[in-house]
Amino acid sequence: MKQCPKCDYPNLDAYSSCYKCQTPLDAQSGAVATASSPPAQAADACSKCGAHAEEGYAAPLCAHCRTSLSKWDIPKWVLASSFFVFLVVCYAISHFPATLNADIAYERGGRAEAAGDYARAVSEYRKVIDRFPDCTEVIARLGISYYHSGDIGHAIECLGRLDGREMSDDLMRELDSVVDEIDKKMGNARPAGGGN
Amino acid sequence: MFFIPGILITIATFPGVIVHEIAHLLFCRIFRVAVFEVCYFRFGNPSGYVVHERPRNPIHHIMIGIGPFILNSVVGAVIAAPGVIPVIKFEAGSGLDYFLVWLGVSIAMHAFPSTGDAKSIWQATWSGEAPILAKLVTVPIVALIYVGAVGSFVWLDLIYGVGISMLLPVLLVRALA
Repeated sequence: MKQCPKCDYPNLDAYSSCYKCQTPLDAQSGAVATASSPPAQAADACSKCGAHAEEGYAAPLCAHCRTSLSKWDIPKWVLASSFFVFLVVCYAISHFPATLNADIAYERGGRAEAAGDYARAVSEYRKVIDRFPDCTEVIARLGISYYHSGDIGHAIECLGRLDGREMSDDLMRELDSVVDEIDKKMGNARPAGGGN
Repeated sequence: MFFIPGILITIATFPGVIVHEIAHLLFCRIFRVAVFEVCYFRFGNPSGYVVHERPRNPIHHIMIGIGPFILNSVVGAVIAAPGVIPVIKFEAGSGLDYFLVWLGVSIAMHAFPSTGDAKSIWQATWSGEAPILAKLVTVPIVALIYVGAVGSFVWLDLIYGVGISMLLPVLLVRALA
């Protein structure tokens, strides 16, 4: 290998100028190329084995050596790491359908909720809760959908699980609004019940 | 926007460098281009490299140069896919999910060919007797590589990595929901 004096790129011995920056390499090494200088090796000889070099390439290599050099061995540690990652990914992919189904259910739940089909939204969000029982966003959406579908008991149960959790301002405002409405309904119902 | 030294990012995302160099190797093998030296990872600049002969066909040179863009994107997307939904969508990822997302994003964010790859592609096509089509194809590719290199200062590589990692689950959900 001849290292380029300008960019340090490691060049093949056969190159007279740097492959990367075109800086002349022979001038740096002190070997001045003259017309009378005898070539170190026949121009059409493979620089590795001396056999007939393939034409049209800058690097003088025979077909066998070129093929062999193109099949560079990947180190065992890279292969072993890749195999480990492959096993981990296979394991993860075996769980992927359940995760994907949960995400699909979440999307469907969102669409049903937007369309005002709260019973359907509850059904879809419950599928998500089965896979991700502690996800704040899903619990909140399920609680809101329960409320709009008229199931106040389950709505209160869901919203009660959200105490002290962090969430986005938008979701917080939506929940506050639902809680206020529930309070009003409960407040209206309580005197009637309490009066009896 | 905050600055983190490139070497720290490279160390934190080293699997991407290894896959990047494997991609160059893979395309050298496909196009039967001799390889003389390979460094899968090192603490320096560049953090990895493949020294190969100048391919006879400039299109092969372009493909070897942009090979990581193809391989890193595909491998990153596949590895991250199972972990992305629990981690990003439902904030309920296990350690394994976080590991897969880190690995997938690390690999995908090294998809952009380096400026060294761009220079190599440019010189192979514009300094040689490449067909005009190859020269024309090279211009937008090299421009995009430089855009990616400049964009890495504003985390474009990370944004690309996260985007690619989320791509597969998002497409599947959109198709099936």
